[in-house]
Amino acid sequence: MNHSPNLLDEALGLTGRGFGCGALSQGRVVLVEDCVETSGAFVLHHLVKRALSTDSGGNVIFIALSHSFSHYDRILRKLGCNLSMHREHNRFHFVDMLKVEFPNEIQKNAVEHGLVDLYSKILKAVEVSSSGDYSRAHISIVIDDLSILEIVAHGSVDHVLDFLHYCITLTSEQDCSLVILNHEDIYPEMEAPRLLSHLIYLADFVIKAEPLVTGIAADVHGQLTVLKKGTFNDSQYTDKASNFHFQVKENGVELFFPGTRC
Amino acid sequence: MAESICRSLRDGSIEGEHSPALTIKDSLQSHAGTHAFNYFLCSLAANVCAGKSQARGLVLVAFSQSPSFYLSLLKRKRMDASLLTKCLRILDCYSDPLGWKEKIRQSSGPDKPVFTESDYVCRDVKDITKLLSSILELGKGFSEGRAYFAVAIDSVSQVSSMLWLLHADLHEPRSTAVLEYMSSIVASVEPMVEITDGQKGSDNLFWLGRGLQKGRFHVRFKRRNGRVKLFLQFNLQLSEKERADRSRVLLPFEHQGNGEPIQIYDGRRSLTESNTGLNGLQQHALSIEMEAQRMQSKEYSLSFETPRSPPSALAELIALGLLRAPMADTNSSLSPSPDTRSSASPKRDDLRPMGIKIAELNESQSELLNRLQGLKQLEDLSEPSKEPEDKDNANASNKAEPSLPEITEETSPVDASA
Repeated sequence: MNHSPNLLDEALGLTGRGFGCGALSQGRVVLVEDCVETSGAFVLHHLVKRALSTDSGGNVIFIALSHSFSHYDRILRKLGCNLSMHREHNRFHFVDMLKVEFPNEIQKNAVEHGLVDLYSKILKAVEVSSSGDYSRAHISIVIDDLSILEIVAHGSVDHVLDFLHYCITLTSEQDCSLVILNHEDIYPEMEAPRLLSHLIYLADFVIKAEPLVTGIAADVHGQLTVLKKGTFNDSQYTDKASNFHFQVKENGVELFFPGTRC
Repeated sequence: MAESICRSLRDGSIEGEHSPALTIKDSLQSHAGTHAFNYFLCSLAANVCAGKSQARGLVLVAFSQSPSFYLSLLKRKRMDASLLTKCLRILDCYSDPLGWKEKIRQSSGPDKPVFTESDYVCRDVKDITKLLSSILELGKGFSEGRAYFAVAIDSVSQVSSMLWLLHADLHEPRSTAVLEYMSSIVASVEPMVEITDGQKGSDNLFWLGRGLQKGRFHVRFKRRNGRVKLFLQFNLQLSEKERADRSRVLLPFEHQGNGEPIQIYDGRRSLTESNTGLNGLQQHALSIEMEAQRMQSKEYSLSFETPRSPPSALAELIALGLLRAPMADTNSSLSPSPDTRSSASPKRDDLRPMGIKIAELNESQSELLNRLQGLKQLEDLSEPSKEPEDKDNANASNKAEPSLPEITEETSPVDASA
């Protein structure tokens, strides 16, 4: 397994060495925004792999709305991470939401009840994680992807935001971080700002995956922009934005600054 | 600006007025509003703890950050923990705003660990009435503040001051506007450069990245009773002393023609240096200065009661048309006929040295046109000086009139021919 930090790790501050250093720090919220031309799923895979690596020794709670477990298992295996094994060891909690439905017609407030159920599942998983061998390990909660959760909630942005708020409260109470994948090009022009702006306000890191401005290229699949918002805990308030190109490969992703690859 | 906001929050409400309400407004383009909010919160909390404020306590309604975040923030500002527990109540709308945790806990058994960071947890923020009554309840303990919006309540259960943070781009403009109407102070954090619609995608993120480092802080104060707070004061009236002082000021051109060397103050060569005396060019410049000073001299001349020097007095009399003969006398060598002069313009005096006048007579023909121009303007200026009630002050007549006569004499033929 190659654990040498790449540009994305540097941008997210995951460059430390030793136990626990490969994971995001407590309370961090990472928002990954992608679009139909350029999928940002590889960022999630990378973060899951980092979180489960022996360096960080963390736990992952994965809320899957778009793909089945076997999909992630195959991809992560190529990256050198055995999800099935981690699942058995209770380090990887897979919450399968593929067939979830909140039928409002049958039950009043079905959406809210459904989301409360989902939240209680997460709470349970957190409990299990914090009581096992890795009781003091960092827990990453990964949502793939939020736009489907919104559809499940019958398009109710409020409910989705309520749910996210509860996930975020969890991050401040426990050693948790939250990673959210969302698509940015699925909203009508006028409607988009509300949910997306909310997410950007909530996030500490915003990672945007976009196609190259210059068009499709054979050896560059797109560009990533990582924005680190200033934290108000420090006395310094420095926003930092970095931009680099990426090429998704069979067993990983190559990240490089524009023009630095021969 | 920030200081005056802190002061008004500290001073609280005045009898008969609403309490100060501060809206801190930010947007994604410049999302430093949280920072601003924390700053004002800390300042208010410090004032409350120190007993300097009208409010006896602070109620903080925490929505976006946990109570422990605020406690540690305030403690980092070196605030005494014991004073804080005495003066600060945090209404926790962050941990469990919708009661989900409570619901889960009840359904799964009471032995589950409960994360309580605060004694006051609001479990249903959607019930506004209940939320308000909990704030008031805490406020009766003493006072207030808050996170997504903050409040401060006084010991008499009166609100002393309030502050809240608002992310403008998450709400409809009308909601934002309503809150702005309700608040007495609106502080908006704006980006240095507005992002236009054209800048999308990663550019936009880069702009966001710069948003926090630099920005504008724009504050609007409103007074409830409609008084307008003026930061600048203008006084258009002069006091007696100012008027007297002003009349004593010797304007740069006041001595012109009194026998002293003539100086030009606009950067051009002095006429005495170039040995050409007063020519049209200078006259033109002088007339511009005259124009600029006319109002001034008029104004202060009204209060000019001290006896004037003989030349000025003479000039005034001449200006009033009472002493035409002596003037004609002094000019007799230069003016071929008094009729020409009087028809060309109302000249009154000529107090300049003869040498200069003679030099002017030798000037080239091309300069005559310039002087003609000067003459026309001076004519305009000199008209009002004839008004008896105006008493055309000595300054004006002294400085403006001296060169007039020769010019008219020389130019009147040209004028006639033109």
